[in-house]
Amino acid sequence: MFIVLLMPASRNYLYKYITLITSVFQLGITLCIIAGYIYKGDNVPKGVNAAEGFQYVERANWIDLNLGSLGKISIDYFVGLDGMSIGMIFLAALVLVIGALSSWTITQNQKGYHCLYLLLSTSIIGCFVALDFFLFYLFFELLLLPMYFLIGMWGGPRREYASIKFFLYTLLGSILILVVMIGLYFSVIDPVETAVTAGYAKEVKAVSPEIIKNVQADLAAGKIARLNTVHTFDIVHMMNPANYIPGSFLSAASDTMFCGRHVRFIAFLALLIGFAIKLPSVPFHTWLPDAHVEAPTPISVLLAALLLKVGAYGIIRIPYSIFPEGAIEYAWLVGILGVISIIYGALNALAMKDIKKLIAYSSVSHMGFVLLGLASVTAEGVNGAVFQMFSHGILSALLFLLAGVLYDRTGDRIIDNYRGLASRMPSYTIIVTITFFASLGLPGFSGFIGELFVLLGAFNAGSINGLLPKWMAMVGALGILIGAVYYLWTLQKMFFGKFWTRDAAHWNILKDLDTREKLMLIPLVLATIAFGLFPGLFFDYVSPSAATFVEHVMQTGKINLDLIQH
Amino acid sequence: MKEDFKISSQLEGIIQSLADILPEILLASLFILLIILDLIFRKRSSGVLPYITLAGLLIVLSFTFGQFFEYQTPQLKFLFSRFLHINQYEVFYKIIFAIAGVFTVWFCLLSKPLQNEKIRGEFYATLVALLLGLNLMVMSSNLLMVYLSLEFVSICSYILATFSFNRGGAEAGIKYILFGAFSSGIMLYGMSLFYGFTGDFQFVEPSYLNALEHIDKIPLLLAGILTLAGFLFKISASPFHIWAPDVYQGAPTPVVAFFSIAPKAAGVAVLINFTYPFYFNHLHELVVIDWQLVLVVVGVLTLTVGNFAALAQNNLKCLLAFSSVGHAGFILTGMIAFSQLGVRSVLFYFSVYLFMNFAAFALVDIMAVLKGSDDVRKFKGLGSKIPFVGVIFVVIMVALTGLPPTAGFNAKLFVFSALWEAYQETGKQILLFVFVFGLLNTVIALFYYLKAPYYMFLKKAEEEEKVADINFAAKIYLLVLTVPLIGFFFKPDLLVNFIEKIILNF
Repeated sequence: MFIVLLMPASRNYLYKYITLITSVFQLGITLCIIAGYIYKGDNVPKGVNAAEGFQYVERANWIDLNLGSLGKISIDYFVGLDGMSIGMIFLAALVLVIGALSSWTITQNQKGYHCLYLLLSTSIIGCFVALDFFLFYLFFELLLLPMYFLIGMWGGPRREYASIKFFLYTLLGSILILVVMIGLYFSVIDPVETAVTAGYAKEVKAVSPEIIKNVQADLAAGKIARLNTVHTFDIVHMMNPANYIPGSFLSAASDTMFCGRHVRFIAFLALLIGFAIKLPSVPFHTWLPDAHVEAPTPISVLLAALLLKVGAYGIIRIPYSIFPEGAIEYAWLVGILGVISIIYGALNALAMKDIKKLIAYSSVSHMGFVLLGLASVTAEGVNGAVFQMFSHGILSALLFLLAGVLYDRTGDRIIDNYRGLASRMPSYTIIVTITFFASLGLPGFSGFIGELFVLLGAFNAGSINGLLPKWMAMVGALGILIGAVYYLWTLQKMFFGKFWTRDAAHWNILKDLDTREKLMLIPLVLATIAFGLFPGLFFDYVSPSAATFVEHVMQTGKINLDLIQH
Repeated sequence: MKEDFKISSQLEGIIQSLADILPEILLASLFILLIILDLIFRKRSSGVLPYITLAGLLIVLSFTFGQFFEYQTPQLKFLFSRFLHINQYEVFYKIIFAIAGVFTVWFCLLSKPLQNEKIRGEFYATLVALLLGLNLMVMSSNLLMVYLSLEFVSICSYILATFSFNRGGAEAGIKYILFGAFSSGIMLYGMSLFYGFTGDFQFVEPSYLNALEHIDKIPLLLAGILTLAGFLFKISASPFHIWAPDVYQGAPTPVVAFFSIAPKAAGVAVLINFTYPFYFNHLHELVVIDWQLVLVVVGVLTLTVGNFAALAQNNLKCLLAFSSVGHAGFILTGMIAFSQLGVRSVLFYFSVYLFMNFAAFALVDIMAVLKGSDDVRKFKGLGSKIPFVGVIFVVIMVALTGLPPTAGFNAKLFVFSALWEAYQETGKQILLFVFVFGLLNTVIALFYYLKAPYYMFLKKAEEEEKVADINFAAKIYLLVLTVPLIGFFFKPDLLVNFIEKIILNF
């Protein structure tokens, strides 16, 4: 639905106002959607692994292809929301408005910039709502091109290197995702449409749950001719083991091995790496500091606040949901990646002289918490991970905007070149202080809640499902400590003491925030405080889905594990 | 068989067959018409001839379309004492050739460098003759006929390659002739070995395969590989691709665009006609030559050579030459699935590739006029000066890389789906290896395809100079080629349903 709204605007020539109005309009729609989203009561639609559990579902046949003897493929335009995506949608809509405001500083080639910006925002939202793997992949790939040009054309001095590095890393990730996608659609059928082609029902509407059960039973017994199967890209169908063709490549019951492991594990790992590049998790993170440093401020904001979340969201929606046994089998791996990201990112941030690089590495560190929370597969951990995604979205947007404020004025991002900014830029200093404290996880701010729940989840995982050892949570907690060090250090170096800048020419241009900047920063500051004090605002929406998600991963994962081992 | 040798029955067969080669007859008449017109009205006709050619080719196209719906039977229909055969599948290739011909003539009309060269009647006549040769090539069911038509195509190609009348053109022509003669020589040797084994040239018949059953593996494999040389030369598959960069650089751009599609499609068609019966006959368990393995080696080699060599190129034509080698690799990747899906994915790939490559070469031509050079490094800052060309450039390069939202992605998706299906059916690990290797090549391809957009958009022009925008006719041409690329991404059904209907007899 957003897509249709956005498309015509990208052909418009009113530049920044159009972008801003579109984003505000989009935020308005998002708020209406959130207002209408059902999250209370006994019969809460929970989403995750049941198509009926999604809200605002739109489904239309998009591509139907006949594969001859193999049956048919159906690709749907299938979007919907559940607890996992609703928060992301809100975050995306909010940050896109802020980004649009922040884009006012772009002066050259505005038409091109704003077209690309709108295209980018379409694909970001698209990624968060898509429930068809093909559609998701389309949006996922569509993120790359606008981003490449946005960094490459409007970025800093080393923009060419940064943009091509970004593109190649992420494309490598998408190729891994594509491999699994092709494998999946060959293995999975759409029971509803198969029921129609195989003669169980006359039309799609007449298919009842019993008929679906019959179809799945007959499929398992091998009674449905291959000619009549309808292959699907539907993510929800892919989660149900009953929809896999027996003996097909990625079916849990098949005994295909690859490099000594069952192919489903390999597929899980391929997807995990594909999304971990985007997330980014150590050791796939090296594109991030370059891309962040060279990107113009609004694009850094989008990159940190939204694109990284697409990676994390992808992990939740695809490898974890479709290959839950991989989530159980490789929980230690995901957990270790998370812990390493937390510590390694934080240590790197400690050593950075460039403020944008510092923030970039702190992002790696914070996204590590998301991985750790997911790895625990406990209700606390998953809730915490989703909350951390949301909170980091707001905080990283804030951080990059603040870095942008300084960069716009002086063109200098080196921490050591500034001292005592507090005396010249008081309101700037206040917001920086709040943001830094929020980021380092001080209670009362959103950053605290996310990290607390993740650590709780990771700590409890040992006793609830035995997936993670306790030391992981402890080492992860160490990351918060290092975080405090680098944030406080930076704060002290840059803002306190006597006012001084290395370049005397900067003395006079360092003015305090103007209205536009305040307009961008204050809503985000309010958001981080609000969600820090009342996390229930967010958890109410997420937790039913998170509980279903945990249940689905553990149950289906165990079933599949049993199948694989026999 | 004996009756065939009676003259009266032979004549009858010929007369009966005539109706089935209507498009070919039309092409031959068009060829003669063009030669005569050119001879009689030498001075006055040069402006009219391309339009006559265009009209003629459109008529041929419409008749070929008519044929498409005529041959909806699973059996091959044999013509001219089984020298040729025809069914829907072959007609599809003929449609591709005819469309490629139309695009080429249209391109010639727009191409400014070509106007200066005083292209004469022979050019169009040779092009028409080349199309005739391609049609015969895909319809051949006899090794002799394959050889004759392949040589026919080659000779026309040599002539067309030298039409730029400069040093580069002459060099390209000579190299082309030498490599061409070399590979057809090898092919002829392989074919004679096959004749020795079977005493028969009719390679599509089961009896032919039965005869091969008792031959030793090694000489058989040798004969097979030798025969393949000629086809691979036409496909510009490695190691028979060496002519491609020189010819692409030397020959006139519209001709290059044509070369990168039509002879390649014909080569693949013959390759499929020649190798598929080995897998799809009544003796299913019998595989006398493991073509799949041979072609896996060729495919992987082609992909590697094409993509890695293209990385180092800065000349756009050279880059596209190696990219076309890389694409040959992708097409072979679809082919080695040895399944119906594989053939259909190849057909889809060619249909999409047709649009991509004509657009890419049209852009080369436009750039050559604007900047006087094919060097991508000279395109600095052009993107913002001529945004229309810039955007089309990005779309085409994205399509060639095979990323959404262009049909280039669907084409690659189908090819890899076919390969995956073959892997799932047979469980051969080597197919999975090709699958992964092919996909990784896409990442490499991205690197060089982005080169031109990179210089156009990301680099600033050193000196400010006025760049004239391209004319309206060229814009229309580019749009006609680009819009289907995006259209077929969102609605591949339009094309796939068409390909789906084709009845394959293997």
